[in-house]
Amino acid sequence: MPKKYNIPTKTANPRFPPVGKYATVEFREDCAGSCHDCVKKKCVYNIFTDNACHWNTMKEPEYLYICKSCLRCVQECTKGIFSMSVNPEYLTLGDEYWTPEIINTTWAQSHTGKIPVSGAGYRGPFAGEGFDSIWTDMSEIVRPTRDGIHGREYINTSVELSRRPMRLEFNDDMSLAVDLPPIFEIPVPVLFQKPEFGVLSENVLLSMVRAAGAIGTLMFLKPESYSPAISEYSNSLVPCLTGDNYRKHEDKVKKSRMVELEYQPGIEGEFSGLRSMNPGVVITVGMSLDGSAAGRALALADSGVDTIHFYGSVDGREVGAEKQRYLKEMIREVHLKLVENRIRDKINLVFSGGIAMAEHMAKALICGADAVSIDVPLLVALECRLCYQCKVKAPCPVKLEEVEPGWGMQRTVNLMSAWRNQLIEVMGAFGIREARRVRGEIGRSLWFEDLERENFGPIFGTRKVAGAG
Amino acid sequence: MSIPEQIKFKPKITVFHCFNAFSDPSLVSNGNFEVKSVKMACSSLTREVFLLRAFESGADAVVVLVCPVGQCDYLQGNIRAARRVARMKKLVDEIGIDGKRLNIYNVTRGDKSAVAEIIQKTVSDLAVLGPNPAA
Repeated sequence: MPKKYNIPTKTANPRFPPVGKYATVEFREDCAGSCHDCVKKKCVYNIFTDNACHWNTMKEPEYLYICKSCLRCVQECTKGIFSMSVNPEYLTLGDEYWTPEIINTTWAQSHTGKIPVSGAGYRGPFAGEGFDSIWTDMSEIVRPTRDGIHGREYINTSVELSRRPMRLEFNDDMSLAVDLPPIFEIPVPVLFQKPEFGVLSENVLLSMVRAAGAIGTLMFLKPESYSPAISEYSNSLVPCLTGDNYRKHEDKVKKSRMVELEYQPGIEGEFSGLRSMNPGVVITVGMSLDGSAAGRALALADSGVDTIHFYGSVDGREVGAEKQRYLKEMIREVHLKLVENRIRDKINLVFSGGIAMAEHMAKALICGADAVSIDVPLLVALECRLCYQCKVKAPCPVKLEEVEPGWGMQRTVNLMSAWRNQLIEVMGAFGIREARRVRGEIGRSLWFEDLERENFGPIFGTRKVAGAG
Repeated sequence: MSIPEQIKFKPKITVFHCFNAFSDPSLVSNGNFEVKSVKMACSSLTREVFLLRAFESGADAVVVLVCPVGQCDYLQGNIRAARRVARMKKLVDEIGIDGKRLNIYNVTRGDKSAVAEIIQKTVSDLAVLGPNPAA
């Protein structure tokens, strides 16, 4: 039996005290002092000891970044001296899309490599917009001993990025009459790309590239971002070239397993040129995820391209439209266009923009993507607070420019391990053991809009205002 | 923020503050004095031992910023902090450091100018009190 693919994790401590969500307030005067049953000693996360250590060195406490708000201390203290508080600084993290919760859980996953847990329950709305309006159907959760990350049966998360022939043809002697393109697959349905903003020093990029190499995936990178140190990892890089400049970067094409060309009309005419430089290279075409993306994808599908990479906006929306649709709708549109034209199986679709959490990856696959590409989470894994100070050339509060590549790589690897584990859990609950089979498996999801229309439509009529609110 | 001429040393001030009363990263030291800020979830977390430790680690003055009476999210956090500070002032006096170096102030949420005034007042007081004798 082949060895199971596994992403090795190792704790990578934060360099700066992370902005935690919960803080415990205690009224010490009310402590009995003699109950010998102090809940502080029972905390499974050792919150109180850790914070006392911080106080003793006159540093700010961590604000219970590791506290999962299980409320055990609050409930079990015999004198009721504890209260929970939410750190106001936490609420100022990120923005409307990259919420404090996303940032905080990304930090926790990068730190420990474990699936994030929350003990305080969920008091928010049960449906939102975009990916939040999709619920995954977990009806196949039957046997934890068989499925999931601790299950004995293997769940395969690898996906292909190479093109496939639609059918096989044979000669009279039963030998193959068609040339089979080389098969190229990555072990997780996630690729990396350089973020559009942030402190993108060589060390930061090196952390991301090395992490891509460690887990066996690839990173999209423009040739101007290559440096001698980064070029050493060419095997894990996808140079993002154009029809005009790819000949100047022949060395990069030859060393890479996959090359991206920017979309322009007639770009398919350059594929033969690329393949003459590197016959086994996988070709992807990068294009913005706008209203005509589906039509362009259909036109390209039969041209010999392996993968099409769609760039959405940083908040997971359509690009260049007045009323921007969500990534889930755009993925559905492109996927279904190819399905309707019976050519979907031939190529692969990668979507980027706004993929912020592991659940987005699973939901993107359900909508019809083969894989997703991430950028901002790679920065957050390196402790970025999304304060956007770098956009105004102000100093980075967490000194990203000083990141040590080995540490940065481990943080990113930890994040990917946690994401993969969550995908495995979701797939176990789907009853699906191949990530490739999740693609377009809409039957494993429940969509808020559909449920609302089916259940409340007959009573209240059609919705007048779009959205889940 | 200016500094009285008679001060011949660089004052070190440790500020313990409730993050609801005051949470401004611009509260940083300038060339004339040094401010160390210790943020707390509530001023009731001001523990006596940490006030003493601040003096032990070289602070010339310790300031505790709490919410105004009646505005504490935990009802009594600021009152409890005030009691502890009052107790500690006596103790600090007894051990010869001078209780005037330890003060507590009520600050309205987000009132930056009031905090600047408090720091200025503390720096002026230190001109008379001099450096921390225990440092």
